[in-house]
Amino acid sequence: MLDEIIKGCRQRQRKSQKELYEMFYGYGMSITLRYSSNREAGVTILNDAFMKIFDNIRQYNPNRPFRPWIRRIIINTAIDHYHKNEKLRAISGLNNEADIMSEQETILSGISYQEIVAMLNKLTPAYRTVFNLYVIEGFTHEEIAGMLNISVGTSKSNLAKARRNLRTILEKNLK
Amino acid sequence: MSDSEKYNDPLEELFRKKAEEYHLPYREEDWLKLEKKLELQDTRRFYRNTIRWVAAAAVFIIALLSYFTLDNHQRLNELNRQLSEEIRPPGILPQITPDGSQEESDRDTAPIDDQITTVLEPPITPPTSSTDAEEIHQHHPSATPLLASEGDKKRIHSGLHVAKQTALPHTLYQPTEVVVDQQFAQVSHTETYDHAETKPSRFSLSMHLAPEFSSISGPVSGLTEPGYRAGITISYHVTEQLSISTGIIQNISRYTGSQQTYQFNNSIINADEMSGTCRILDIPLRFVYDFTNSGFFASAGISSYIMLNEAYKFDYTEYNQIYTYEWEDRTGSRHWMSNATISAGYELPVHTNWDLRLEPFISVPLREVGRANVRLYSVGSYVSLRYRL
Repeated sequence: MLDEIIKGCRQRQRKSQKELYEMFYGYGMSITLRYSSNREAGVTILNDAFMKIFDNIRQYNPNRPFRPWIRRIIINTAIDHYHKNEKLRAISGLNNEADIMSEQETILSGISYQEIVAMLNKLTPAYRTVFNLYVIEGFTHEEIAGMLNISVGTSKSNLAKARRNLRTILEKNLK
Repeated sequence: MSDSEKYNDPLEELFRKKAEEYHLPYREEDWLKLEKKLELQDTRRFYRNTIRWVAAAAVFIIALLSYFTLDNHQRLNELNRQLSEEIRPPGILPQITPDGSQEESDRDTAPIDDQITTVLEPPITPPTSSTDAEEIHQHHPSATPLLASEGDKKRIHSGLHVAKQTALPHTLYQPTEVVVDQQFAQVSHTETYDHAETKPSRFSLSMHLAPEFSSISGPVSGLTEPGYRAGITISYHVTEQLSISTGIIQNISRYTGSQQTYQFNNSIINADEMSGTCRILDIPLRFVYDFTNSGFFASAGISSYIMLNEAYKFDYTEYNQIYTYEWEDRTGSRHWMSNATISAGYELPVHTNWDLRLEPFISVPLREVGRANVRLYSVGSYVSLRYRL
């Protein structure tokens, strides 16, 4: 079934594109929410990622698994957004953790994954991105440094700080 | 914490496990936002394709019109030449010796002045008396007959007509027309468009466009998506056949390769497959040889590359998962005399001072280029428009 959908996407059929979007919406959002501060930002990253997926679907090798292929595109798109918003954050002070916390409490509810996402969203974008890439995506510090245009030392430092902050947030939530 | 310990940390293990398990429910409104972007993109693509088809149709029509214009122009030239002159068939012209016998002469070795011949109206027998002269003048008003000498009388009576005007001591008749010998009437490939009327400049300007296929594995192996080349060059004609040219040509080169064919950033990533798209500024230096009067030419030269933009994608497998790593930068790196190019082609004159050229080429690397240190092969075919200044 996935092969038929991919074939339709190669021919730019809207019906196939929608089917693919529905099929991987949840999986994609579970990735983009970890890199964004709210759901709308996560949707924006996901939609941009799917634009790239549809543009490059002809280059996908059918002999390889599809999920890792789109996962990589979604992560790259999330990093692109990180870079785009870097300057804006520096100017307008969007690194304010308090703002992010209050926004998340109004949106998220219920199950433990969302609590985890909420905890991640309380980190600064730099810490959050390094944590996601290292712990969840499995990249090395050298690869992360190349992707984010930072030094290996900065990557290690950000990871250490992310871990420390998460432990603090977790301890606070458990009290 | 070291890399090997990261999979043992319970907190991080929790994050990884939960990240893999959770799926957010689908929202239709998110799809509608994406659909709007897709429709906008489709509209832009439609307009872009339409413009390309219109441009291609315009080029085709111009080429067709140029062909018919050239064909008509050649026919008109031929007709004009036939109307303004008569061409005598080549052959040996009999000479008249003093004793009246015939002697063959080799026109080709005779001095040029002697090869100027006259065309006769229906042969006029030179008058031997004034009565004859008056009669001739009545029938041929443009002729001014003079009385023949004794020697001429003998030649006339032998039935031979004098061909060489300058050989005779007296002019027997006034020719109605003087034509240039066929040797001078011969039209060469380059004379059709009156190039002899004004002294041509040694410089010419060319615009080039070419599709190309690139590879880093060998001249024609591993070819993928086509790129293109577009640019301008200026040529200086050292001699009639030999010219030297240089200019600026922008290339978009696309290629793929395995990890044996590249070395990127101290080999941080050894990928299963690498694909690259590079925007390159090519500065060629070429020698072009024109094969006289045939329209064919050949060239050989050296190119220097300036890498304007490099984009790479690396597919690799780690922990049984496939990853793609992308890298892009405007590197601006310079690689002098990095490639050698040879080509051969055909030139078609389309108008005065304008020529259309078709030129298949192959480019082979002399050294590695780019951040991935690749040896870049290219094949393609230029379509060029040349203007002689």
